[in-house]
Amino acid sequence: VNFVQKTSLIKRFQGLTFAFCFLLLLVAAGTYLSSQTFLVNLRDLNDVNAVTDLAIQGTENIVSARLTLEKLNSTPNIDSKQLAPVYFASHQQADSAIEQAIKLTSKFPGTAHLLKDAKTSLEEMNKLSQHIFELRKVDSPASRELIPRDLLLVKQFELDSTESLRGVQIAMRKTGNEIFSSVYHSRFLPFWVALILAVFFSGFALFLGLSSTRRVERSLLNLLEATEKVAGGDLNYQVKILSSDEIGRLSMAFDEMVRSLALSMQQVQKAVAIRDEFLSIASHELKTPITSLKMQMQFARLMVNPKKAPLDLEKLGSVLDMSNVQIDRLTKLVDDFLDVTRIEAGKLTFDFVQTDLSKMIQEVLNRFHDALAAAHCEVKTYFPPTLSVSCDPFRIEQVFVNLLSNAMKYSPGKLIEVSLDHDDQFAVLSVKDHGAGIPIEKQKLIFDRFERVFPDQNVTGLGLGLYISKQIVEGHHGELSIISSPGQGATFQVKLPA
Amino acid sequence: LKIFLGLIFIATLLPIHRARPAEEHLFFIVNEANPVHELTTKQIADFYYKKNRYWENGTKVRFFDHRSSSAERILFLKQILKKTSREVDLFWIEEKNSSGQGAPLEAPSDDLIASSVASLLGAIGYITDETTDLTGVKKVPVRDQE
Repeated sequence: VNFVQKTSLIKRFQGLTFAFCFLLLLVAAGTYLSSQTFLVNLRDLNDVNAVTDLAIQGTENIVSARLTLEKLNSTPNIDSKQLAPVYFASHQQADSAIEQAIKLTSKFPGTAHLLKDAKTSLEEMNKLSQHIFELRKVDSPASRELIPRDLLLVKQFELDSTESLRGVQIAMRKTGNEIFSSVYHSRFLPFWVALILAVFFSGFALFLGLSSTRRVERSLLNLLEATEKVAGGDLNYQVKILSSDEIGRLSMAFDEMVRSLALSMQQVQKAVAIRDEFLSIASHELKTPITSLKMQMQFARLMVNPKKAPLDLEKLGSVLDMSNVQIDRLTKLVDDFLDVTRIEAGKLTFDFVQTDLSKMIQEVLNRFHDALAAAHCEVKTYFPPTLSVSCDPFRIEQVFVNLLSNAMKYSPGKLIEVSLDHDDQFAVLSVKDHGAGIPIEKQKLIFDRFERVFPDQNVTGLGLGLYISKQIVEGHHGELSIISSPGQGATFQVKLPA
Repeated sequence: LKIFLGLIFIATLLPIHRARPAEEHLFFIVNEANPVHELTTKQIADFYYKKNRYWENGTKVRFFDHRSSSAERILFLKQILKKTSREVDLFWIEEKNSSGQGAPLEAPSDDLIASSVASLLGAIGYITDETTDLTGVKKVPVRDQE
């Protein structure tokens, strides 16, 4: 079963974790940015207060400078040299305050022109003030007449300058109020931003987490239900696969495991059935010669009874021969069991020697002459006078005897053809009977243990002969195969490396 | 004694006599370089109240006023602003608090106003004394306009 994993539960949870971390960072960033706005407003408020202070300072110094000048007019005997430094210090302070205010008001464009006006007026005032000081130095009647006019103009420029600075103060007060109002109203902004982001992202994470968890929960419950069903013995139960992630994959693997378990159970049941059948057959196969042997022994015992007729040695010899046959049969059964045990343990060994197969086949056929005659089977042979291969002669003979015995058992009274041939690679031994043949579906099974072609027929055997033969041939790096069709007999072919 | 009393009476009437011509002859003067040829009462009021702070050529307006107790100012308030001194004072108190602007500068005499206007290009003032030295200034006729 092909299963394509399209999604990954682990990656999804990893993604959720990363997303959650990212969202936390976003909350932190949102809080930081909103705090920044708050801090910028506070800084602006500080600047507004500084500009206001500077405007006040400038105004006071301008007024102070003008008052200093007025002393020149109101106090005739005063020395202008004493007043000049006082005036210029005031002027310098005023000019410096306005300059600083201009630098700070770059972010408040509404007040910049007022400060420039104030500075211009201050410069005009300064020019006239210097003129007044010069007039005072001259100290002539004409110059004394000009001083009141210049003082009036100085007052005019002072008025212009202080008006502008007062305008700055008023504008700054308004701006300061606006900023303070903004700061006051937004004092909880970082908190709200953090709270809203946290609520939004928590809801989002909760939704994703719950939807993922619910899907995982359903998949796991399905798997749990399937486990309980299988534990209860229902090996046909299949998990409902709801997702294409790791749990889907696990469910698919679980289904595979259950299918495999069911198959194993079938195989075990089949093996048990085969074992039971084997025990039944083996019991029967063992019982038959033992029973026959027991009867022969009882018969022999009666023959040697001194109270009866004198001992008939010829009959006794016949009874012993028949007993010997049953003992051979028992020996054959025990040998088969031993061979199977060796094969299963991997301890079946071969003694390879150069063997003339033609000679070996002929000797077997001669040995089976009476048995073939008893089965009314005619044997035709096709093989060269000599064909030598490297093999274990005892085991290859065992294979040929098995094939010949099967041919006699399953096609009594029919022709049996034995042929031997070779090519560059293999020597090929074929045993062909003209019996009922073997159905195709059985042909795959007849080389397995305890498999018999017609178990219901009254044919003896444990179903081990072909299994042992195939293992022997394959132990020689050869092949044992069958060619058969129903009603056409069967040909067993042994290929041995030449 | 009659003569003395008559002289005293005449002396008390003299200031009134001097004030009356001023009430009839209020002249507005500007710097002679100022291109303006005529003004309206509304323009003058806007200059005084600093609603308009610039001449048409961009020069800044500087209004020179008389002292509040002077007859010239009373006449100015009556003829041009049509307000009482108290109303104008209250206006400037409020204006100082709202916009920072103060009342125009007050000068003690027509001569000082004339010489200041002559020295400052955008200056404007009013005088009553026809004998005032008008060097560097020019009179501007005023047309009444609401």
